[in-house]
Amino acid sequence: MNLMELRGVSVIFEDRGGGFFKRRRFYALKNVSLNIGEDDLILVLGESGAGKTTLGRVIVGLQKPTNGSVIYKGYDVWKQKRKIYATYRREVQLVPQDPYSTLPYNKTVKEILEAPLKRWNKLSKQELEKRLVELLDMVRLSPPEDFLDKYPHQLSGGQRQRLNIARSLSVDPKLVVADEPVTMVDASLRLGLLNTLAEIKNKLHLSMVFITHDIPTARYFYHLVKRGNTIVIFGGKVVEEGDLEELLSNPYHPYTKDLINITPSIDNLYKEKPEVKINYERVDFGCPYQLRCPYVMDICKKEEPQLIGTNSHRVACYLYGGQNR
Amino acid sequence: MLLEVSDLSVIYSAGNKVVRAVNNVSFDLEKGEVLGIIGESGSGKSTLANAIIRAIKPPGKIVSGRVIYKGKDLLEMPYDEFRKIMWKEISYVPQASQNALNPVITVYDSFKYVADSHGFNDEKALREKVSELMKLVGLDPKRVLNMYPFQLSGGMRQRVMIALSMLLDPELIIMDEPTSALDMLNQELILKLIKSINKEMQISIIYITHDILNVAQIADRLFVMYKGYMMEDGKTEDIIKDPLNPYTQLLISSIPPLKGEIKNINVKEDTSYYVSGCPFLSRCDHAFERCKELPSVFLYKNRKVRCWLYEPHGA
Ligand SMILES: Nc1ncnc2c1ncn2[C@@H]1O[C@H](COP(=O)(O)OP(=O)(O)OP(=O)(O)O)[C@@H](O)[C@H]1O
Ligand SMILES: Nc1ncnc2c1ncn2[C@@H]1O[C@H](COP(=O)(O)OP(=O)(O)OP(=O)(O)O)[C@@H](O)[C@H]1O
Ligand code: SF4
Ligand SMILES: [Mg+2]
Ligand SMILES: [Mg+2]
Repeated sequence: MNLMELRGVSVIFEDRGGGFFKRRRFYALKNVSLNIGEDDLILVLGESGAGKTTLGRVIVGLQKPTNGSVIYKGYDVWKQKRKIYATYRREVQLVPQDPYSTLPYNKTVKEILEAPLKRWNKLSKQELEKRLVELLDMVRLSPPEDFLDKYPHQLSGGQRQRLNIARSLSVDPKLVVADEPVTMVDASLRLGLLNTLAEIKNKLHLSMVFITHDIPTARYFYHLVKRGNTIVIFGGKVVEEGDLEELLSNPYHPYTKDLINITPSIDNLYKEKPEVKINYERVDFGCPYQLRCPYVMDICKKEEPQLIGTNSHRVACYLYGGQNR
Repeated sequence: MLLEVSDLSVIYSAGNKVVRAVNNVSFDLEKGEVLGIIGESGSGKSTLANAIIRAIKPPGKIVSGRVIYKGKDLLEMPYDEFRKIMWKEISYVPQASQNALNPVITVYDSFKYVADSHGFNDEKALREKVSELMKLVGLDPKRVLNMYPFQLSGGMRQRVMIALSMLLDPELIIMDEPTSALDMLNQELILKLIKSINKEMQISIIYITHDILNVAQIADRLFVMYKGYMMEDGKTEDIIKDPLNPYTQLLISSIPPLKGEIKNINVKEDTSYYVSGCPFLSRCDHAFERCKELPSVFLYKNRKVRCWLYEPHGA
């Protein structure tokens, strides 16, 4: 059974147009459906403003969808609140995007980790201590005793992010959304952090949604977990979906192709990069990529392409059919 | 020489604990040059930037050094004089995490505020200029100018700050992690933009980041920091192709590849507080007896490097 399902989720913000601009409905997410099974890894790729964080916030319940439903363990978390909401909010946790502003400046590691534990469980003092040590060990902040009384600013960036992970794990979640967990740490700490995160995921059989804009990072993590279904989001919509290595070796969508081509790597650093059009206007009709797509056709401007293909690789683009649905 | 930083040191003291965030840092910046400052989280990059623009606040303190801009010491001049230079001649893109945008005013009002405070009062010209800048950084002015910071994604906020730094056509822009929250296409866009303002308008840039691939695409020169110390300073291409300092070597070897086989890489992490000796000692594979002492800076292959491995023999 699926642990969680998003069914046709849209998140719409009303832009407040001050003065001479009219109000406009802005789709941060549009009709996104996603199944997350137990022990699954879902990788989310997409550019800045694509809606990745919004998707993460919908999954953990910080953002209520405007349309569509969020189903956890078979219950609609917003319509059957009494049945599932408390369990859901405890079992689905977020490692937030910005490790700096999300850790309180004036609290010690111990206080930071204790807060969620006390909120959800009744633990004796000894049990609490034991759990704290366990958590710090798990994220490799060791020896734990050295860290309990430290403040966030006394930790390195990598250590701070480990603390964030420990905090999200403290209440035994079933599903963790990691929103760009390594974006703000340098390459030499990044791998260690990814190793730890994967080790925890594999050991506890956690389901995980891993958000990143960096393909090499996604690839490294995929390799550690040995699988990973990937969704590529553009303009609030899922434009391609499939196993990561399959998607990278055989990308369908023009956006995915552009994304791969533009990614720097140590061996192509001084090669001339292909020209990619950038245009941030959003369209009201048709394919979200039409303003940047080199292959755009008439139909792309009229109707939205639907996701089609096999279970293991799907794309929403008229170059691959999709109009007859 | 546009900017000359010499022997700059900054500490933070809390109670009896002292953090030596920046230690005797020196570098020069020529007009039109792009200098990349790179180092891991906590290595003192932001502190260094803040020191240059006199933005160190208690418990932080500059304990030594000079910052000479066009022949004048920024740290010594009266604050009023410095304020006229700030934004007009030297501007700054703060790190995203520092929440630099005022949360209760719209994006447009943030621009207006900076413009007003430097006597740029022509509202119509300002609107045009701001819209133009927004487009340059890939944002839709119609949508974004009326928004409040919380309505922007992480990357959008960074791009707004970059636009703001260009508002008054400065000569030097200090950018603190301007693209680290951005995806590749946006990084590409911003890098191109920075390159073009650098080439066409001869604007000098100090570009701070922890991402070596990113900075390598834009910087003429790299300045590698570790725990507040300069570890290596040289031409970008030289450093990427042949890193000398073991920390720089580690940085370059820990980038996972885009294609081909992926190997599990285990990276040694820092386990203890730094007290003395080489700042990289606890993670270094080449460490030897000598490293218990703080290495001096050696000149080697046209580069400055802080590491005992490069001590000239017979010296
Ligand atoms: N409260 C809000 N009001 C209006 N628009 C919002 C709000 N929150 C998010 N948005 C918009 O939704 C879009 C998606 O934002 P989101 O933070 O999900 O992007 P992201 O993919 O995480 O980007 P990044 O990589 O830059 O973090 C953006 O255009 C943003 O402006
Ligand atoms: N206000 C402060 N009070 C005490 N210590 C501080 C303060 N600000 C910074 N520090 C310490 O100074 C050192 C350097 O911090 P700085 O923010 O300059 O690093 P950075 O290289 O910019 O890191 P990052 O990549 O995380 O932004 C760190 O050890 C940090 O904990
Ligand atoms: S549907 Fe059309 S515009 Fe969209 S990606 Fe495919 S070809 Fe390009
Ligand atoms: Mg985000
Ligand atoms: Mg910083």
